[in-house]
Amino acid sequence: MDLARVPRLRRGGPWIRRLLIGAAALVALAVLAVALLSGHGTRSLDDRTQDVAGRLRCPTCVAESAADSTSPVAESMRSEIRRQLAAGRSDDQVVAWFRTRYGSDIVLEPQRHGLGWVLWVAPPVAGVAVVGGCVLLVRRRRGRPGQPVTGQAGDAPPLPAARLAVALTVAVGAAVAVPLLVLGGPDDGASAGRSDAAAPTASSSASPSASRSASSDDPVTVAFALLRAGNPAAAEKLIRPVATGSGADRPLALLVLGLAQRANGEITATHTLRTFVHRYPDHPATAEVRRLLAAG
Amino acid sequence: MTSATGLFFLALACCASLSTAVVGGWAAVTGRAEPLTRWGARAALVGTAGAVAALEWALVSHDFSVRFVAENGSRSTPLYYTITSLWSAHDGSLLLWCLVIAAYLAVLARRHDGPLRAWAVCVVAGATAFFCCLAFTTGGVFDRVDPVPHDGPGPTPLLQSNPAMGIHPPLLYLGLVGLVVPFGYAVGGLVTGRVGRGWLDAVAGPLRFAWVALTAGIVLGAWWSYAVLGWGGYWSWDPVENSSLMPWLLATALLHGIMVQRRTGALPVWNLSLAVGAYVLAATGVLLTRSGVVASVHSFADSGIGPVLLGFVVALVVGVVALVVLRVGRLAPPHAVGAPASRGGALLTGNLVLVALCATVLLGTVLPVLAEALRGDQVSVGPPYYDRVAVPAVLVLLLLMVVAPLLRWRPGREEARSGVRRLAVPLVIALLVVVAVRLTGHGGVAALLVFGLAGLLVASALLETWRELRGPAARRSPRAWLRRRRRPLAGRLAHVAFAVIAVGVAGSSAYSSVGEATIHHGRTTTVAGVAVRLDGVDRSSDDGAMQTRARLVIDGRTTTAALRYFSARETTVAAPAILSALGGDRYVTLLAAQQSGRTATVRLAVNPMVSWIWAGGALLVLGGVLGMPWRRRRTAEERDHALTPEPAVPEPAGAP
Amino acid sequence: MTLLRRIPHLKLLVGLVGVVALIVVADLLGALRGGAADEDRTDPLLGRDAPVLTGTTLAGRPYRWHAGRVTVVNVWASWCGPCRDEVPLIARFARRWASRGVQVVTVDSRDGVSTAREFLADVGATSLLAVHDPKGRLAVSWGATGIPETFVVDRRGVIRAHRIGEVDTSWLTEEADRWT
Repeated sequence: MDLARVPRLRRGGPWIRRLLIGAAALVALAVLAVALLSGHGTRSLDDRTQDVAGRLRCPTCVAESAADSTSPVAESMRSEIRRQLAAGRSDDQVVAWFRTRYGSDIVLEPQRHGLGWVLWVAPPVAGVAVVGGCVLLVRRRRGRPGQPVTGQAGDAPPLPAARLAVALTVAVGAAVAVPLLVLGGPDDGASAGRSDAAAPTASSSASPSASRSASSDDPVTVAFALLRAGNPAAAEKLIRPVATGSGADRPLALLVLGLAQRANGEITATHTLRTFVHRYPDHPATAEVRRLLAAG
Repeated sequence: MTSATGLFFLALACCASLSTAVVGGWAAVTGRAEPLTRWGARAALVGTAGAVAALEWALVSHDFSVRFVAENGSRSTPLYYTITSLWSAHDGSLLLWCLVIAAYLAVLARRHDGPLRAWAVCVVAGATAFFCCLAFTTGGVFDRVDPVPHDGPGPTPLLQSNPAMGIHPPLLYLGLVGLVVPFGYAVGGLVTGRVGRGWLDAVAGPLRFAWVALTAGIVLGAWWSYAVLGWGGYWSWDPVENSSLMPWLLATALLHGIMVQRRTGALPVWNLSLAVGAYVLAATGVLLTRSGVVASVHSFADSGIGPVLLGFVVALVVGVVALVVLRVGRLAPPHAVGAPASRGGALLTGNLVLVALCATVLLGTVLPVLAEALRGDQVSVGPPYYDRVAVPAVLVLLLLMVVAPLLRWRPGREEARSGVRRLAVPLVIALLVVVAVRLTGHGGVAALLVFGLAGLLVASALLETWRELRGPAARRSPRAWLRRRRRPLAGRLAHVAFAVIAVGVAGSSAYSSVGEATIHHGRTTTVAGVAVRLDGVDRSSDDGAMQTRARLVIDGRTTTAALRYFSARETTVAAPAILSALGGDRYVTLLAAQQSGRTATVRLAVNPMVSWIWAGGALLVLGGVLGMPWRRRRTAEERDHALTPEPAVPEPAGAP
Repeated sequence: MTLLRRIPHLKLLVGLVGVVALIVVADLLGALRGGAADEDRTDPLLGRDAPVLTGTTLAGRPYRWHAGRVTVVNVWASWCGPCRDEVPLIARFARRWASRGVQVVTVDSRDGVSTAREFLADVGATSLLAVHDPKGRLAVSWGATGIPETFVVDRRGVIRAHRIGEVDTSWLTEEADRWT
């Protein structure tokens, strides 16, 4: 289409041009209607599996859906979703199936009762508020808009000092009151000031300062920190009871013990690391340890 | 030594910003220029810069006696990521935050031109003082560690996997912190009553600058998570992302609200509120993401920084609400926005949609935190919820972007008809786009609508630009025309960019496909409709990380997808291979590789049109930069010229 | 008050905000008193009928579980570290309690048949009844989030206990005692 000639339309150009545009629009509309109506529900099984998995949370991950996660349970969930969809169940039925097994939390959308209900009501309310706000503002101030703002136009007199003081006092009062309320008393506040805000990361970081609070911290982490900090003797001493006892973090404890012994130059290191490799062949560190052993 | 130096500079920043706030307040009340504010602001900048430099020096020289270095530094980390590790943990990023806000303060306080700026200086100095004192008292960045370790664990593996780490957080901070300047001016406007032209001129520049930085930061962040996180997504609506999106929404609303006020004098209080809201949300974002509230609700009461930040946010809100209540009656002159079908009406509607969207995102982000804190209850809010909310809002916004530029500030019957006529050709183009898209795939109605509206928007924008180019004004003197029309054209470019982003998002989310397969060495397997051949598996060890790389041939192009194991952090990070093209990306993540290198299990996602998002993001930033008010003040002559009403309709281009 | 009167549509605005606030507060209060949302907090599986448990055992025979006896269902895999300690314990428990009417069925989830068999032989638990679940579907249909997990089902086929992670003998004995 010759775009340069389009403006002529505005002045009532030849009727043929309008007819052409109208006809093109009609054809497009008709094709669109046909396209939209036909072939509905032809989504592939892969797409549907991915869609349903996207509505479900991966129960062992942080903020990942079952569609995105690569964890074993998410893989199993996708496999089960696919099986059920292939068996002819609807998307919603599959989601409901997971809800009965894992609870409402498994669904990535808020529930439709309790607090979750607020979230479902809020967007429509916001939509209504938008429309209402427009109507209200436009109706009230109908007519010619004001003049462009120039110079001092639109300015108001300054705020009296007394009111300013009131506002300032209120703000400062709130600033002081709220932390105190949250902390439950000024005494707690004083002590909380010292504690580290990055508490979740502190335990995973190999900070040597962690050794000072060894009683509260995970011994494996502390031992690892000591090891990294170049104190394998202390690390070995700390980790030995954990590695030889029973507990959920035994693979790591065993690994740290082995590494600590190795750093101390003990002959038992090889034995410990071999035990680790043998017992936990699927641990992510196993490959590296194997290489270590091979290197001598 | 480094510790002491850093602490000294931090203390200097605290004292300087505190005194600037006090002296600035005095200057604002008395209306006198106080050179002390200028020097105080500069001293605060020197102090924060010195503290940041000291910490960087400690990081680069591997001074593990400094706590932050012991926790986040490592001898095996490359220099680049050693430098960026300053902002890879909470304490260090707070320092960067202080540096940025002090820089804004120094720029703001460089001169005195009346009570409005004086109040803004006072407020910004107050905020600077707050954050500097927070860093000084709670951070403990410069604490001494004894005994001094030989090495540290290095920054979190995810944060040393992509060079965007060096640009994305600073840009984001530049944007988020930059919103403090409009906030300061808003408080100034409330106090001094100067909410007219002077306020608009003062706010426009800083707001635009912050908006550009924030936009760039958000887009880069999306790109970073796409390239690093390995699941093929770029936006997961997690609280950290939301807390940068919400201020952006309000800042965008404010950009448009300012236009309405400039032309009609309406909405002064609305605009003030938007400026306040944007910064309050930026601060809330810090509260949400930096206090551990989101990561773990239980650390809320324990952490020292959480309640203090909460107090800061509450003080901002309460103080401003008190100011507004105390004088709202005097600030709102009865100016009309205009008829519903005027440009003012459309811009106002867009503003309301942006604010409503922002409110919903805020609710979705905060309610789960509140629910868990108050009653230990889990409220599940995930991407499906946000998608459902955001899609209608984006559709309305796209529609408004089509309509608003065609409307006049003072519409008449004739103009409305001409607007409809000018839309005829774009409408046909949009319909054709929809039909074409529908015939190639099944993406759902929402995606089709996005494609259609985006087509409409782009076609209409191109057509309008073409028309103006052919108009007599542009022909007579292209340079003068370009100078006069620079900002509207920049706005048009930004709208087109938004449409391009919307298309990229719609295309990649509605038409993507994913597959997983285990591939044998030398063999070709089809995953998600793509032929993949495994050429081999390599293992290597470098920079404190063990790498397993799978060499793959995809569609004839060779690439490597890797798994990196960081022993210091006991974390495995996937380094996906991304083969980009305009049509779509092939996104391959290595899931596992056999020890022998015989087989590799990969996840391959075909993500159509993802590169459109990055292209659109770049255009959006470009539009923002081009629309920047370059000159500080226009001359009176130019101002008058700009105020003459635009011609109701462009002159016809040439005779038939 | 003169100040407030200047706000346009004050009554309408206050009314609207008030109504919305009332609804929200009422709902919050209702929720706080422990209404509908409370059921989500407990384990959704407890008190429900046990899902179908059918498949092929590691020995290669078809298997279908029927209610009637108290049953301990344990999900494990040879690649899971804690299972190495847990599976022998479960096998011992199964032998000891078989005479007292407690049945033990295990689900070997996302595992290879040969490695799983080797594993059982390794830990001396070849007698254990293990249903092979190569894709992890059985585990998912039982609402398991990870490995290992253990369920206790009573005589009527209702899930009575669910434990995520390793179990110990005392827990197993206690639960078996309670439901037999």
